[in-house]
Parts: sequence; C-alpha cells; structure tokens
Amino acid sequence: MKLTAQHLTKTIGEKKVLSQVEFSWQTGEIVGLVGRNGAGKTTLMRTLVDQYHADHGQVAIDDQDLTAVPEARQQLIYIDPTEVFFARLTLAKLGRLYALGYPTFDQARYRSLLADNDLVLAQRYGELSKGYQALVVMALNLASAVPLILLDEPFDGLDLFIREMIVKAVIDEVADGQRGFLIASHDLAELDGLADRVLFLKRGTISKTVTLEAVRDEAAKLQLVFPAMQIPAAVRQYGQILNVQGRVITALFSPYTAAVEAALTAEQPVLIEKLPLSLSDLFRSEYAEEVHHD
Amino acid sequence: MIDAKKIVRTRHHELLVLLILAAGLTLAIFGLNYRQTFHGYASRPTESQYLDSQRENVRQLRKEGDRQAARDAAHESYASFVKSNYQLYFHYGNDPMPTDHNGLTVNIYFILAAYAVGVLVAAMDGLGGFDRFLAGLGIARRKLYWAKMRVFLPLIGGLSLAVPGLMLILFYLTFPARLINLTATGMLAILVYNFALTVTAFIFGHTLGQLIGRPLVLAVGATLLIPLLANGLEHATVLWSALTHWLNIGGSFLRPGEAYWWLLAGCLVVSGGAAWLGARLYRSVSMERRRTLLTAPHLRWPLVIGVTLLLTLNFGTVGAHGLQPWPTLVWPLLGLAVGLAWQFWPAVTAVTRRLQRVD
Repeated sequence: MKLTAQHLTKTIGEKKVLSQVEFSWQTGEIVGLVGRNGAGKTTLMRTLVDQYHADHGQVAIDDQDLTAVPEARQQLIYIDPTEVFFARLTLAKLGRLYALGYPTFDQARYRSLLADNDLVLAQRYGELSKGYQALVVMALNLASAVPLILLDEPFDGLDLFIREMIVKAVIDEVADGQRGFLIASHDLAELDGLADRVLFLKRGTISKTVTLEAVRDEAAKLQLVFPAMQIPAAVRQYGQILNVQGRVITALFSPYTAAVEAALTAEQPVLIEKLPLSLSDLFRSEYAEEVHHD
Repeated sequence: MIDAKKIVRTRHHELLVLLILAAGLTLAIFGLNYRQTFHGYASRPTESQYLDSQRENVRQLRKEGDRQAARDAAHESYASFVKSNYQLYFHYGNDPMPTDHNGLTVNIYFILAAYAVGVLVAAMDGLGGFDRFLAGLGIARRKLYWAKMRVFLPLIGGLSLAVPGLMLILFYLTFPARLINLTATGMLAILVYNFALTVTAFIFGHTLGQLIGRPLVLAVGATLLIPLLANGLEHATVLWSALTHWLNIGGSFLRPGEAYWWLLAGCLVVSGGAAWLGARLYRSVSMERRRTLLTAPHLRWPLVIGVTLLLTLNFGTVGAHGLQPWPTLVWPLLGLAVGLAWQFWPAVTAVTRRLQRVD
C-alpha cells in the first residue's frame, strides 16, 4: 500500500506553511520527517488526514484520491498528541471508541498491550503520566491494524525504557511489510537507528530525501585542524561546516571523493580524522546556512 | 461500515443523559406549579361559601352606592367563578395557541437547555479535538454533520413533546374536563410550537458554536443573544403589525398570539438555514481555524449585518409609525464602524507597527 502526496500546499493565516510538498511512503517502510520548529511537520500530518484542507494538491492511497474516495483514509491513522479529546475517558471507553471508528481495531490486542505495561482499563487517560499516555497512543495505533501510521513526536519527554518499547514496537510492526510508519520527530538519535528514509522539511517543502545507509557510503564527516585560524577555501568549497571550535573544524563532505580528499590534503591539515556520520550531522548541514561561521 | 451515529452517541453519552435530566427537571418545575394549582383548586370555596360571600359583597357594594357593580357581582354564578379562576388556559381572539393560565404552553426551560447543549456540542467537538478524530475516519464530513444531528434531534424533539404531553395527561387525570379548556387543535398547537422552538434552538446553538471559535466570546455571545432575540422578536412583531396590519398586535416567544404561524414559519426558516449553514461549515472549515474568533471569515459582514439588525430592533426607538429614524440610525452606523474596524484592523496594526519601528 502506498501513499502519495503531490503538490500539497497549505497556507495558515498569511504564512505558506506547505509549498508543493511531494513525497511517497509505503507499507514496510519507516520514514522519518524532520525539520526545524515551525517547519510544518505537524501541519503536513494534519493535512494528510484532512484535518486541514489543503489549498492545492492531492493525497492518494494506492492511486485513490482521498478527496474523491474519503473511505480510503481508513488506511491511515493519526492520533494528534496535542488535540486529544479523550482526556476524561477511561482506557476501556477509549478502546471502544476507536473500535467504532476503525473496523479493523483489535480490542484484544489493545487490552494486551495495556496489560503488558501495567495499565488498567478503568484508568482515565488524562490521569496518566506523559510516558504512559504515549504508550496508550501507541497501543491505539498498533491495535487499529491500519496499514499506514503517522506518529508525531512519539519520543517527546519519554524515559529511555518507554522509548525502547516504542522503537521495538515500530520495528516489529514493519517487519512483515504490512505496516508503514511516518515519524515526525526532533529526536534525531532515535530516528537515526529507526528510519529507512528521512524527509527534510525546509521552507515548506521537502528539500531533501536521504537514505541513511546510502549517505554513509558516499559522504564523510571529518574533523580537521589547520595551522591557521581561518577556514581554508577547499573546506568551504567542498564541505558543509557543522561546527567550529578554535582551529578544530567539523565538516560534512558529500560526496567525499578522491578529488575532495586531495584538495583537503593540499591545505596541509594538522589533523584529518573521519568521524561517524549521524542524522544530526545531516540535519545540521541542511540548515547550516542559518548559522554563520568566520 | 463505520456507524458514525454510534461514535457520536458514545462520545456524547453524558450530554444525552444531561438532556434527559434537563427535561426531567423542567417536568419537576411544572410539577411543582401543577401541585400548587391543584391545591388551589382543591381548596376552593364550596358553592354555599361562595354564595354567602357573594351576598355579602353585593350588600357592601349597594351600601357604597355602586349599583352597577352590585348587579354584576350578583350575576356571576358559582360555575362561572370556578371556571374563570381555575381554568387552565385563556383563549384570545383568533390566537391558534391558547395562553397559559394555570396550564403549560411553552417549556422555555427546555428550549434554553436545548440551545445550550447545541452550543456545547459544537464547542466541545471543535475545540476538544473530537472533530479532528472524526475527520480522520474517512467519512465524508457532510455525513458526519448529519450523524450528529440524527443523534441529538430525535431525543430533543421527543423530549420537547414528552414534557408538555405528560403535563396534559396529568391535567386530564386530575382536573374536571370543563376546566381543561383545550381543544385538540389547541393541544396540537402547543406541542408543535414546543417542538419547533426546541429543535430550532438546538440547531441554531450548534451552528453558532461552529461559527465562533473563541470559547469566552462564544459563551458571552450565546448568552447575550437570548434576551436580544426575545426582545428583538417582540419589537419586530409590533413593527410588523404597525406597518402591515397583517397582525393586530405583537407577540413574543412565550406568548406568540396571532404571530404564532409567523413564528412557526420563522422556526422553519431559521432551523433550515442554520442546518444548511452548519453542514456547509462542517464540510468546508479547515480545522486550523477552529480557535479563531470567526471560523469562516467570509461570513464576517453577514454576521455584522445580522447583529446590527438585532441591536437596531432592540434599541432603536419605536414610534407610532415604526422606528424613529434619528435615534435608530446610530445603530447601523455603529455596526458599519465595527465591521470596518474588524475588516481593516490587521492592516491598521501592521502600519502602526511599521511606523513605530521607523520612529
């Protein structure tokens, strides 16, 4: 099952939040969605599920335009973490409500997921801690048995163990290829180990799509030290500066070819060391133009 | 196949129970009034007590020299006395619906409860995120709107008939038939009127709740609308009777009089219009607008015009030939000023900010 978004545009107030957004995502994939605060990640998710009407563009699932065939939206689920209407509901009633909304909802699985985490059906959602609320949302998503699941900041404010539980649940669900996740998150470290692909949302559009394994094959993150305080021309020309501390420069070179290596060597660095390349580095390089270095 | 009605019913289970309780409470209120009325009837003077009292009254009036009053007092029979003091309804002229004396006509409490619940349902669903949940289910929004209406309207309509219906049954079981001076047509007029006003109140309240996104503005506005609409209607019927002579006299929500059919027609127009607007709003309003002052900005001027008309009806000075021009004109001018200010306020503040930065 494949979701395709084409030319999605959304203006809120006077700000064009989404501009010609295009991407696709299918079951069996975990896709990360990253961007700076206010980039439009949540707006994109809300637009995909038609909480927000797009000004232009189309969202289709398996070539079925969701405007023309709204029933196809049943293949998609998005539980907005900031707009839950069910704070006063018990977990039991919550399950009943979602079972009414999603015919494929598995009540037994929902109850089992709650029981595994010592959650009682008689508890009210609003009385739970943030971490347990996140678990309940995850339980609702998983029990819905819907193929395409949108998660918005699922790791926000959670302790290590609950994060690991959520990560494990996501990986297990995707393993058989029947489910797909689109995860919007500022937690780049979690996404790094989880996502197959990452979409970078910048100025309202998908500026870059990276497959982390492919990027790691062709790019390099280097730590460089030069005799002079100034940043050599070759570094500026071929790399994206990630960090500068005194004479120590950390930069991303994509692609990192023999020619690039030769150019850097010609600048006679005191130190040139390859460092592990992470999603955080790619994020920093994508938005580096907003940070100035001398 | 998703049952949207069932989802709405599950979500609003407590509100539905609240409606039933509200109806029960109004029944209790009318029950207390009934008890008082029945007690008054049960403790009425006997015929001989009445005749003794009448003779004494006639003697006194003759002593005072008021022979006409004495003759009138002597002619009123006991049966006539009981009827005029304990009959349940008054009938005036050609009014389709009688006026209550000791009986029940308009269940204003439940009408107001229905209005409040309409506002509450729309506000809770919009501001609480339930509408966002529904939007993601893949059901056409138009169908979702009508699912909500199909959950609430039958209950509200049914309760609007049940309360006066039960009271009428109680009257027939406990009062002499001659005192329940209500024809079948009159009874039907009461039931239809309550039904129409209650259903209209709910739909109107719900649409208002969809239109206004700020909770405080909605709460204050919805509350103020009640006296403004009630008062505005009275003035409108007085104006109508003065200008057209299609009515001999004005009416009100509680006592429509000859304006009864006009009010029923008005209910049809208002409920139909509000439902149409509500369905359109539900379909077209993008939910990022749900917390804005007006969720549908293109309705700004119609809203300003409507409120201005209402204020003019309420506070414009009514004379013998209609509204007096000069005291009345201030309201449309005020409405125009408010509308323009609202329209151009963002531009004005932007210019002001730019000027402040230059300074």
